[in-house]
Amino acid sequence: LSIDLAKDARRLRVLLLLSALLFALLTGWIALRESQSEWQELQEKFRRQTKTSTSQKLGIIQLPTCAGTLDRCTTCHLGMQRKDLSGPEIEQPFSGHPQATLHHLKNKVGCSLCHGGTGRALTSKVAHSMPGTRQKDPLLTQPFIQASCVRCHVPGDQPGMQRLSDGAKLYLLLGCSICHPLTGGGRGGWDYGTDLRSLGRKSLAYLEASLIEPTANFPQSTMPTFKHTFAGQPDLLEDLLIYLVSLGLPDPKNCSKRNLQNETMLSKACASCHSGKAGQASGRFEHRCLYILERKSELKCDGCHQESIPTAGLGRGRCPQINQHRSNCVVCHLERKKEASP
Amino acid sequence: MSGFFSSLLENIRALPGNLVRGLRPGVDSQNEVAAKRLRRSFIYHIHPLRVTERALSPWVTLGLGVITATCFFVLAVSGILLMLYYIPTTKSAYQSMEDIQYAVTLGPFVRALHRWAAHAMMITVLLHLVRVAAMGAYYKRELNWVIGLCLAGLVMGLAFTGYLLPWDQRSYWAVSVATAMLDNVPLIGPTVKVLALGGQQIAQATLLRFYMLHVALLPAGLLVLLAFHIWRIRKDGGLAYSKDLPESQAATPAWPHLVLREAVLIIAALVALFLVAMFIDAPLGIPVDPHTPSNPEKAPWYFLWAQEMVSYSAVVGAFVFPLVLSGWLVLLPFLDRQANSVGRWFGGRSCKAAVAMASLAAIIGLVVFEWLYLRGGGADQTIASTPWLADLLNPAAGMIGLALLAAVISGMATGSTRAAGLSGIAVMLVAIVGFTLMGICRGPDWVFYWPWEEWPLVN
Repeated sequence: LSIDLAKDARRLRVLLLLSALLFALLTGWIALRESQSEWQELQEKFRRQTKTSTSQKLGIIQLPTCAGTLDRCTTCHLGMQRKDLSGPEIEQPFSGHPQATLHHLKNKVGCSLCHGGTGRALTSKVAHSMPGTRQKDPLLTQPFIQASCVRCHVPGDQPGMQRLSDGAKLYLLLGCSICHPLTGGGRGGWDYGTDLRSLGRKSLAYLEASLIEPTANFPQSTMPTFKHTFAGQPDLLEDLLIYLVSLGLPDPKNCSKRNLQNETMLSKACASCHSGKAGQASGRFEHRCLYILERKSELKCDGCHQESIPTAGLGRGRCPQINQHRSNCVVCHLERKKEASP
Repeated sequence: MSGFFSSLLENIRALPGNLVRGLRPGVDSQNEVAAKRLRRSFIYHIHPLRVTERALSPWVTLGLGVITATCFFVLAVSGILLMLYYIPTTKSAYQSMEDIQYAVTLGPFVRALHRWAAHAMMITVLLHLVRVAAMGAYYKRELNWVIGLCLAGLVMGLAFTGYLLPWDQRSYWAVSVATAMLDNVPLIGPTVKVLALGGQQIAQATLLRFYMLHVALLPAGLLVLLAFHIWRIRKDGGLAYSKDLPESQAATPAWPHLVLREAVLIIAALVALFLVAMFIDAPLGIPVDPHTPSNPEKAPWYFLWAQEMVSYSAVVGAFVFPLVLSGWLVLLPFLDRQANSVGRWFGGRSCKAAVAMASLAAIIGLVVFEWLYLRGGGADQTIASTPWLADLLNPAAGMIGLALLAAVISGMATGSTRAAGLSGIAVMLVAIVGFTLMGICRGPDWVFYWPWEEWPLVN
């Protein structure tokens, strides 16, 4: 034998001891790291600031939303529903929500459907970026939050969507729709520009760069620059950006209107398509939009709807989901008071 | 009545002694050596009492088998923990992944551990296979070699079925690409595809089937075969070596010299996996959108070579090459029955030179084939218009031809069947690595881009 067995055994035992020690230390470190979390520190801070008693249990707070998701945002944003905390002197994450739209939070719409971000996450870094990305500025706040309204509301139905409508007007006036037509199923018209609905949510910086310097994001782009159009008119640029953001947002999935607690809103939504008395909405469905009626044979049902629509008996509150983006509607239905159809 | 209480009292009085005797068998044996062996009987089911000194060297096996087994147990434990939260339905799968990733205590760590241990196992199992082949250790161990190949297949199956479970865009489209390759396998391909997917498309049935395979059928099969694999090594006499090696006498006690070495290696592997899992999170992409394919769609990295070959010729990439490779590996111990130089890297000097030449030829061949193929920006139009010619004249088919050629030339030059077998494997290995690298360099619409080139934006 070329090795000293006794020495080898001794060396191995020391080595085993050392490696086991290293492993134990590592396990301890992992446990220690896990015991400090951002949301727990923030809850402590909130308790100290608002002098909430420590006996009041906080923990992870989660709101189920009508789209079947969970929002854990209020775990850290603890002051959302408190009137006394709204005001400019209180900073995020503890300030209160503007009262005008606070009912969304109470009516199970949650936070991320409007503001974006990853609702289930508990660290600010992930929660404030889109699911599965590390994209900057994903959270929509005023005035860009208006882009989210159109995910559920028919444009013009609700107050506070003015700048979105202005943006849609600009989209037509500046001729954007000539190359990016947004018609029917997917790409239509000239089939020239990118279908803006297929891009998903892009950052504001990206969208702005695409307008001011189109080759910045896409070197082969042949789009003209809109630098001079918006020179000295930051408000107009913002309006258009709001509309562009709305194009990238999908309709909320799995959103059953039954989950909405606001009954009047529900009956209004049904009766807008079905004839019959408001609140019952049992009549036959008829499209009221002239644009759709004129092109019914071209468009086909599955051009807009996710599933094929049975001719009768869909009923029981199940509304066929619209596949193509509602932002299409904005182009024509600019304002509530204008004539109903183009 | 009183008999019951008196005997119970007596047993309680004798409890300390019986605890020691019961839990440490042989503690009061007169023969200390026999008692120790009894206590270590589990270890001696895996290792013989004495091993060769060669078995202690880390450079013989590189510890690859032990690391692979360690990965498996890490995967089993972390997998069971993940099962506590994971829900295999298309509606909830991604949401439960988000919960694990963002809200569950130690969730991201356990998930990262599971992910990185799976990738590590994929790599070590293949290196282990290459090591055993390169040393000719399959000699007269045909059964264990074939079991080993089955284990490698199971590991690939486990990695693949696990890939779908996060239900994000990356996993959905990767599995969609990989299963689409089955369409090119003659006769059984489409049937196997329907069987695996539970339909024509990836849907709820697919997720449930992949989940069942991933958590039940495949791990159970792996566990049984792994036990058998380890037991066969013991029955075949430990590490393979030929009698012409000088240090072939089994003289070193397995305890503690071999067993503690393995224990240190296992802990080192655990430390490495834990460290990686601590600092690098497992990726979780955006939720599945079946209407929006990503461009490029890529199979998981361990199937990327096949996808690259499919882009040249569907039948060669998805059927012929895998068939030649697996056939070659299965038949290796039956067609190479050379007793000398077992347990030596590449079986002696002349064989080593032959394998080195074959590898060099394979690298040059691959570069030349790719250059010929890609210089016009894709397949030559006259060749591409004739289907059988396109299947015959492409880099993938070229590498198969080169493997056969290298095997014949090496065999004739050295007179050794081992040199022939290993040369062929070397060429196919170069092809697999090369095509994987090619696959990584593929951008939108499967166009080749160098890693430093930026991909154009696509719709």
